[in-house]
Amino acid sequence: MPWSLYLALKQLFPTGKIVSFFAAMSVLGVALGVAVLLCVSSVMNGFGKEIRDKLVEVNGHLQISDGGIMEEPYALAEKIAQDGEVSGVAPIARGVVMLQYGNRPSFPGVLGVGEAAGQEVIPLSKYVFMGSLEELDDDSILLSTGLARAIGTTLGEEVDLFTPLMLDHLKRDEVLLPRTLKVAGLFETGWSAVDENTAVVTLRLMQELYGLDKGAHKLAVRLKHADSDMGAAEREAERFNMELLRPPQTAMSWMDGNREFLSIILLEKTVMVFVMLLILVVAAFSIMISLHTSVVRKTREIGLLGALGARSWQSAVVFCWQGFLIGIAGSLLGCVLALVILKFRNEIVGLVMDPVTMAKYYQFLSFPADYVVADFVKIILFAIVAATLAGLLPAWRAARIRPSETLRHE
Amino acid sequence: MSEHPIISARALAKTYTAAGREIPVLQGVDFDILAGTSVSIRGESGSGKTTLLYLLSALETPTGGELFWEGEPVNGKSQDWKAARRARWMGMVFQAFYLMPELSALENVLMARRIVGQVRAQDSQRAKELLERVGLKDRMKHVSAQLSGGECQRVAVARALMNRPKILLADEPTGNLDETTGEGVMTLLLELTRQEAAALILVTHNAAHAARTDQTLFLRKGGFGK
Ligand SMILES: Nc1ncnc2c1ncn2[C@@H]1O[C@H](COP(=O)(O)OP(=O)(O)OP(=O)(O)O)[C@@H](O)[C@H]1O
Ligand SMILES: [Mg+2]
Repeated sequence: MPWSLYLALKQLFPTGKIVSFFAAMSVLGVALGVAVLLCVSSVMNGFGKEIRDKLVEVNGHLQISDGGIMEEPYALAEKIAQDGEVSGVAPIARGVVMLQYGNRPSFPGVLGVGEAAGQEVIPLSKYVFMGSLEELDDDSILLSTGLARAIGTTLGEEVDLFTPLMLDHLKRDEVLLPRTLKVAGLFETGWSAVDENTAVVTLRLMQELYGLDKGAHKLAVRLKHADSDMGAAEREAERFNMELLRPPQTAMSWMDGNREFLSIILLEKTVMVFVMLLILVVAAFSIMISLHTSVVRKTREIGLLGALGARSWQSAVVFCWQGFLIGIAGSLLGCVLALVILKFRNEIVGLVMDPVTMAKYYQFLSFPADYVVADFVKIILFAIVAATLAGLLPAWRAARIRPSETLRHE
Repeated sequence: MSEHPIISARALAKTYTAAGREIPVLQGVDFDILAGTSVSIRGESGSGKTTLLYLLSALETPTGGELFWEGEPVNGKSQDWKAARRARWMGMVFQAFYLMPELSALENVLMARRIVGQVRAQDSQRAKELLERVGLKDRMKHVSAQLSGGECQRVAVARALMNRPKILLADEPTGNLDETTGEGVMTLLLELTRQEAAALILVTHNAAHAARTDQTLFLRKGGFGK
């Protein structure tokens, strides 16, 4: 062990004491900064992951379209299903309709899914909390909670549905007859963009309403190994386009349609982490000030090291070591602290906010957290580097101490 | 014994420049100290005794003259060379004790060894033995806050001798101590350097202490008069 490291350790943990006050406070400062950063980034990652999972569940990993109405969706679906990476394919149709209950109209987006196959791709049953998916037939409809609230209907009621196709009839002076559907269930995904304004019907009904015949708009594909990993779906989309599909057929990943939204989530996290980084910067500053005071206080002892034959850079390194050691200890303690806080996060949050309120505002019943190793590594490295840099100025100051000047006078 | 004096200085001079004014402190000092001998330096306050010690230990560079360590010219050598040589070959004791407050007495003594290299078992042995010889056998684990001034200075003496230096420079080592304590420290210093066969340069105001060394020099008007 170089003596500079030995002396640094001794200054942090002096003989006869467990730890110096300065060391304890500095380590605590770094630990708090690291813990806060890790908690914030983990919770933000958790929210992000939750949202990505929802996006995948609502859209599937890939959506394949051929630019217009797909005439033979089941044939293509079968071909796609052969692929080793695919775990499910479902033809879907999307459109906008007008929905009316009593005299209250609404214009929701409507999704038509093939029943059995659709379940594997878009697991709707997970989100249906009133009524059930089994009851969905060609004469019924599932409404998102927000939509049901907007038009004031509920389970078992009947709603009228108008489609753009009906406008053609109107042009021909025919009588406009809406399609009357029974509300078979209410669902909530937890993602407000969907929950505010979405209805689900069977693909057959959608084909009828939109005059699609046997066709569909798109194929939704669920992959085996992609989960919500951002890169995997993109790569698979690429591969599909190269190997399986012929133009104008194209595959898009779930991210393509939600890029803006995803980048906002990322931006949010980046800004949060950046702001929290300032805690570490402040901690580093206080380490610097303390070390600097220590250099001034120890001027004579440092001078004496020179008289004992120490090079001036060696005396300086003592203070770099101290910053470095504080950074290491603080990071480790901060990690432990963060893991404990994250483990009991729901209990802790429960002390200040009841879960129902939280669900109302954040759409989550419990706080999500996702531990991303890369984030841990980055934050810990930042803490160690900041603490070590904090030792530089004091070290420079120590290096300039000349033994002959400091030792001359009592 | 080597044929060269441990330290010799020829026409050594030092002029400080402060606030644009030149202060000639030493003007042509000739000085030799042979291995194993002791020299005391006396002189009025401000006559340049401390300055001379710093020049002889190469903690400061002279503005004129030459310095030799065992016949080897020191002028023009790198700071690193001087530092390494000083660490192994020279011991220093000051008026104030400058013990590291976060180290025990034993660790303070061993610090001198750490700067030179790894601490081996025989080094700890030697440090303990030295502390025993300065009468601090039972105080080795104590930090400087738990020791008296005289005890601290004895630790400093042990530290200065740790690396078996060929020469010890002491600048008013008893200046901060009362008469009896100072007497004790001085006796230790003289005895230990004799036992270790180290040379000793002692700067002191105390005529009685000076009389106990082999030779006494007076510094006045920037040099050694008669
Ligand atoms: N860095 C410096 N700049 C200017 N002058 C200095 C400097 N260091 C010492 N001096 C001057 O050099 C002279 C000699 O100082 P020195 O400390 O060597 O005296 P001394 O003999 O050790 O005195 P004392 O017995 O009081 O310790 C003094 O006049 C002092 O003012
Ligand atoms: Mg002096």
